[in-house]
Amino acid sequence: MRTFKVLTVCGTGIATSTVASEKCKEMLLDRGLNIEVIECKATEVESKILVYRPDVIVHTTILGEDVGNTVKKIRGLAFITGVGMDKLADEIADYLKSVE
Amino acid sequence: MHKGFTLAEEVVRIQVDVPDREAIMRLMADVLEKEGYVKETYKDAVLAREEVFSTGLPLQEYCVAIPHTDAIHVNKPMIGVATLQNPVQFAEMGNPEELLDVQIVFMLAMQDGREQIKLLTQLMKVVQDQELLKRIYKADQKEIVELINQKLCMD
Repeated sequence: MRTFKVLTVCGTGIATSTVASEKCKEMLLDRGLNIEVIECKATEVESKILVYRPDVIVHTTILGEDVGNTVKKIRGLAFITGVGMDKLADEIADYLKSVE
Repeated sequence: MHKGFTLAEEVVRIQVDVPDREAIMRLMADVLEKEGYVKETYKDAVLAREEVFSTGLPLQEYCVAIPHTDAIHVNKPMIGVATLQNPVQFAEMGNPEELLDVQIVFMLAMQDGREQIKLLTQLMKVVQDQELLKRIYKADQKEIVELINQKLCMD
């Protein structure tokens, strides 16, 4: 299986996305996926997509409708609140398996 | 372990009576500034950021908000903690249309880098523990410091 690339996005790129990205990585590894995660700020999304070419974007902040539309976007708030976290990890895992 | 972080009692306020989110953010930013954890630019930055990137977290019984801003406004890491007598509304993180009744505020003064990830992860464990939040909500300043430091130090 190839390594999937996940881009996590938050407002400042220091607080919430670091937590979300660690949790995301851990839970997808548990689901048997090879994952590489990088974090960025909301303002950097477009440029990161070009350089990093992620398979999926997991965002804890709002992204404009016109931002990042070439990549599947999934809300990652559950990685922070813990509410619905397993379901979210399943959703991301299922999506990644579907694009392999 | 995150190096040397302990919550200071000086930055904890309990059962604060404020009319809205701006008032609690101003109050807590003043507290953090007075104690030297943040620069004078922090308050405006955190207020502005909250309006663009809201930080309310939808939880079960006690909703929490974690206002924060860029590291350049921070001198040293700290977490201002406030419990609110009456809930104030914060917009949900990533979903500004949704307003949450928040009763506990963790105002983060965070610096850049990986060093704090452990601390943040531990803090999120506080957020994800409704029993603990309930105890925090009912606790006095000293007890809050104990409860949180205990949780932050756990592996």
